[in-house]
Parts: sequence; structure tokens; C-alpha cells
Amino acid sequence: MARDDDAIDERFAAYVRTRGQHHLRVAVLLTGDWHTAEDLVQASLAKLYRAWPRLDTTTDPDAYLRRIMVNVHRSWWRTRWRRETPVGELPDPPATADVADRQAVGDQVRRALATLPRQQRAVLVLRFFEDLPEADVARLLGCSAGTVKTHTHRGLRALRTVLGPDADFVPVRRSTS
Amino acid sequence: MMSTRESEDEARRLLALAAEDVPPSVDLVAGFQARRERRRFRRRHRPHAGLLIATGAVVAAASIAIAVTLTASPAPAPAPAGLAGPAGLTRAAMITAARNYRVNFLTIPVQPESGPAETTTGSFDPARGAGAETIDGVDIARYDGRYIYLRILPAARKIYEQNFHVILRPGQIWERVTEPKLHRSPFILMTELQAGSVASVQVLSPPGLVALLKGASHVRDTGRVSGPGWTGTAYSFQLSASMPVPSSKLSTIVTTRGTVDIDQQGRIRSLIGLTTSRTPHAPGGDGLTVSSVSLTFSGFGQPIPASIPPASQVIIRPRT
Repeated sequence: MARDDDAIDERFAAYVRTRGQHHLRVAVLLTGDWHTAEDLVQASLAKLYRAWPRLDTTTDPDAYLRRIMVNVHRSWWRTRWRRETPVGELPDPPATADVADRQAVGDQVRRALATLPRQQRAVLVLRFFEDLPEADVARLLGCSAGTVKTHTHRGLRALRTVLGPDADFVPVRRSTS
Repeated sequence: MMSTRESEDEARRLLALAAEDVPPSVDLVAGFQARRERRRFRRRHRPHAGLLIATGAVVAAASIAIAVTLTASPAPAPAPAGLAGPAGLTRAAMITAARNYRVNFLTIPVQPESGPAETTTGSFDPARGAGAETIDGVDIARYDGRYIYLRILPAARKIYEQNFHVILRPGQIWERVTEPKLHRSPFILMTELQAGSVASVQVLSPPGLVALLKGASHVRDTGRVSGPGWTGTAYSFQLSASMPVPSSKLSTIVTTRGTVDIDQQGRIRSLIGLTTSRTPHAPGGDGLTVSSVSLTFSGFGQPIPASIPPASQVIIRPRT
């Protein structure tokens, strides 16, 4: 029995190692900061772990974890529950000007995302970071495809308004084109 | 004016950018494992409803028992069965010791005759094996990953020369020793924890910390706790070890009871406890000494400045 548990743990740890970072990135876009994102992923992983032995080979753990994360995030937002999280302890890694620019823009985008209504933000992240089709996003968020379309349209417009047509967009375009 | 397609592509680029600077400190596997250990511990020790009612009385009784043990009992109370759960604590020690950290260690002898309070600070970089310790601001040890350099304090030079049959040149203020030599038994580590002073070297270092807390027992979740910028869970614990007194049937027993605060990242934030040392039935008294110890951890992931002393200041004793 203990050996079975160990095997499950090992498989789960392997999954976290390979896919954890990706879900952490999704989480930071949903939450707006890395500490909260880590909390969100850890809380979601704990739930996934409980379900892990029951998942069969046809269940995509990514989809399962994504659903958990969206639900956990929704419940946090609804209860306005936020824990105090560690801050200001990590040194900034040495950054070149280009890296620093990118980090600054990244931070600006996260803050801009955080100003959007939760549902709009979730739609943008799931549509454009996770690259999910509208129908999947609708299923995940428990709304219609039409609502997803509306949120997408309004979310993009709002993001553009918040970020503004300033120079911060320029290095992004330049560095990724 | 951007088209819809351009807007969407732009959103993809921006979101990818906003998610690329993952902080190096995030370790999902370690964090998850710490949570899992805690959950397993709670599951194993989930109390009955009836026990919950009795908890207050048990805690009160335990407090009295601790006080009695510290002042009158000839030996630490035997461990109650089924309460041991050190895995979570060991895990926390390993997570804490996995990255750079700073530690502040305050030891205060309860009996004034045992000496003054001392503050030891340590900073460690486990990846390089580098680090340094100071006591009350005085450089006392440096680590370079291969050796430890221990300070020979001015007051101890004569004793050092007599004990080791060497003559120290002026300016030779460090002894270079190999690290494994200093990794010792739980008893020694606990004595170091109690003593502070020069002997505290090692117990604060990553392997020392892990070795020390490996021996913890009676680990219990005592509720939520928070500090500046963090929240977590407090655990009570007990450490106990003994060592025979040479050429006698006596043993010296050292015990620490206290609380460890572990944050949500699974790192130890503080350890506070009372350490007692005594040799029961020893002629002339059991030599009870009691110290309050307090370790505070911070600076996780921050760079550690470490430099080794110049060769002219170092003595390497020949192996005997």
C-alpha cells in the first residue's frame, strides 16, 4: 500500500515538475502577482492530488487542474479572501536592459490585467494564453459561447485602454517580431 | 487601428510576456511536498470529537508537565505513543536549507550565573556551501564549501596552544577544519543549540539544521501564525538526546521543547524553545542549565557575501 502511494506520489511529482511552471504562468495572469499565483497553484495542486488516484488515462490532468484553478480563483475572488503573502524577500536577478524592459512591460501587463473584471480577465487568459477554443472557455467558466465572445471583445478593448498606446508596447513588438 | 486578428495576436504576445519572469524561488514540487506532509500528519492525528473537548485540559496539563520537568523531574518525560511526526519538520528544514538564508540566533541563559545572552547570526549559500557566522558582531566562522574557518578568539589562544601543542603566529586567528569533522550527534547539535557561543557553529548551517530537526518528536500543529509579510502554521516539537558521562554510569540529557513556525512556502521562519541540560544523580547536583533559544530565518534567496580568510591568518593543524 505504501509502495502504491509512493508510485502515485512519484507520478504526481513528475507531473508537477513538467507542467507546474505552465500552470504557474496561467495563475499569475489570473491573480496578478507571483506570490498569489504560487498560492493558487499550490492550493489547486492539493485538490488535484486528492483526485489523482481516481483520474483515469482518458482524463487530461492539465484540463482537470485548469478547471480546479479557475474554480479556486473564483471562490477566492467571491469571498475576497486573500492571505498575507511573503513579500520583498527575493533579490532582483541581475538584468540586462532588455530583460529589465521586458520585465517592466510584463509587470505592467499583469497590473493592467488585474484591473479587468475577473471574468473578462479569465476569458483573456484562457483564450489567448491557454489558446482554448471559445466553447472550452465557456464550459470552464460556466457561461455561453456568446458571453465568452463579449468578454473577449470588451477585455481586449479594456486592456488596450489601460495599457494605452504608449512606448511600452514598442519593445514588446520589437522583441517578438 | 488594429484588426481583431492583430488585437488577439497582440494579446497573446503581451500575456506571454507577462508570464515569463517566473521568480527563481518558486519550487512547486517542494511546496507541494511540504503541504502533503502536513496534510498526512493532520490526517493521521485527526482528533475524535470527544478529544477536542478535552484539548484545553490536555494543553494545560502539558504546560504544567513541562514546567515540572524543567524544574524538578530527574529526566524528560517519556514520549507519549503515537504523537511523533517529525517528517513535516524535517521537510521544512530541508526546504529552508535548500536556498540561501540568514538566521538570527539568540540564546539567553535562564540562570544568570550561566553567562550573558548572545546573538549569533549566520548566512548560508547551500549551493556553494559558503557562509559565515558572527557572534555579537564578531566574525566567528566562515564556510567556503570545502572547509570551515573557525575563529580563535584572543581569550582562547593560550588554551588552544596548550590543548593542541602548537604555537600560533601573531595574526593567525583562524583554524581551518574540514566540515565532516563537525557534523556530529544530535546530542552535540543540541548542546550547540543551547550553548550559543563558539559551539553554535554548524547547528545553524543547512546540514546542521536538517540533522537537528530530524530528531524532533511530538510534532503538533498548534494553529496559524504570521509575521511581517508572511503567514503560516506553528508546530510544537520536542528534541531530546543523551550522552554517557565517561567513566560513570551517568548520562547527560539535553531536551528542547518549543515551537517552529513554518510559512506557506514550507520554510521555517522561526524556532523558539527552552533547552535544558542535566545529568541526573550526579554527585553535587544535576548541573541543570536552562536556556531560552530563538532562531529567526530571513533573507531567503538573497545573495550571501562570503570570503575566506587570507592564508597568513589561517592555521591548519597537522592530523594527529
